[in-house]
Amino acid sequence: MDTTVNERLRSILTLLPVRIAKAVAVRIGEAAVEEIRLRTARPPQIVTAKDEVLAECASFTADEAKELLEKLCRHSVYSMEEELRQGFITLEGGMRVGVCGRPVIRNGAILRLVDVYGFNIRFTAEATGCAEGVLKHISEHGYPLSSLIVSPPAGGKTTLLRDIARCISDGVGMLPQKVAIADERGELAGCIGGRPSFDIGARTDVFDMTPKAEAISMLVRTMSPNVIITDEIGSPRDTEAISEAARCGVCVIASAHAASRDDLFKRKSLRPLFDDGVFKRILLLKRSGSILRMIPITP
Amino acid sequence: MSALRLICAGASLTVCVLYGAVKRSGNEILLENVSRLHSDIRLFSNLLRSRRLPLSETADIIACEGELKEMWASASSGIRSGKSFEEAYRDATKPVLSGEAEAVMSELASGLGKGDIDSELERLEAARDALGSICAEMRNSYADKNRLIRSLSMLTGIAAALLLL
Repeated sequence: MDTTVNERLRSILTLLPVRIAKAVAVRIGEAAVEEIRLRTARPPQIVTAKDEVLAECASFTADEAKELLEKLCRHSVYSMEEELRQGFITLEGGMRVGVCGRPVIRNGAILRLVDVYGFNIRFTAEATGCAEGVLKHISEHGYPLSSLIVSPPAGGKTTLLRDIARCISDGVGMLPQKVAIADERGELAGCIGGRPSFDIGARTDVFDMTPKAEAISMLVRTMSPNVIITDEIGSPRDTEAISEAARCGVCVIASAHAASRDDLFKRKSLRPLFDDGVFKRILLLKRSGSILRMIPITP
Repeated sequence: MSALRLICAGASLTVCVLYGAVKRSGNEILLENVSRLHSDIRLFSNLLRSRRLPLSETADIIACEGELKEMWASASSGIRSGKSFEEAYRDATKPVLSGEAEAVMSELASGLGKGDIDSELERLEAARDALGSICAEMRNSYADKNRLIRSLSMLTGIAAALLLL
């Protein structure tokens, strides 16, 4: 595990109840910890690159859940309401904590999350160089092509997209381009006060913590990017914004959830992108342990 | 001998009058601190309503724009070091407050940062109203109290001076 991930892991451990932190600390030495899942009234689950285990310690309690939420929100839960409503909290360094609980519903929409019962603390890895083998699939004559990276959840899409941003921005294996990242959850760049926590390239602008559709439209209008990179597209508004950006002549590299080619083409919200021929390349990521395989799919 | 008595009588009168003045200024300081806290809580509420920044950043702004700068600056650094607002407030450098005002602030601090924006604003409004009432009450009672202290200290001083003479 690299030093940065270790540091992030240790900073999280200080927030956890001591017995859970100890159980996780035991696993740190054995393999790279990827996720810590905490569910009320059940033992913590620790997921590593190799396997997953249920920690041998007492179950996570409701009071601990409340306390952890406060700590994750820097003792200002109200300031994270919008993120909580969407089911996640972004921590410094781009780490994302997924949450689930009991929401308040008004007019059919989630107004806010009032009780949080479960946490999925995901450790963001920076794998510099992981995109270098992919570039030949997503570029032509030294220029990037609009591409879609596809995999099931936790398949390494974000890590790959981040390194693609770095390569295109710094001109690794192609001509350097102006890159803009629409980083809705702050996970791609992990900006803290405008400073990215990861190497995303010298020519990369970031619009973070803004809904993707709005961020893409604003980036096209204001930053004149050659390439826009965004993560986990899926809503009709995302699709419309990406189509519009592509019609404006901007190359879009995005990721989406799907386990196979069939699943991908069955996703109705993404259908207009395939019909319009927005993506010139589609890559399916297959993950086995820490090994990533890339399978090109014909759009 | 009579000169010494005269000096002692004068001194006792001065001491009693000074004691009264100190007591009165103590009350005025208490009132001023509660009044400044009331004003800061109003600023706090406005900041939360308009900007929804985390508590540490809100406390930083109040440390610049508010009245009790030192208290908010030390509370902010406490929150930044990982403490809850309750712990940070407890450990902060605080001005001298009346018992009632201190109770209002402790009550506010115990819940701040733990709920949604509506409940936080309600909590701040309640604290602001309570501090406003305490201020008004203090103003009324201190006017009477101060008059009483002035009269009593003067009378005690005169009585002591007469006895000595």
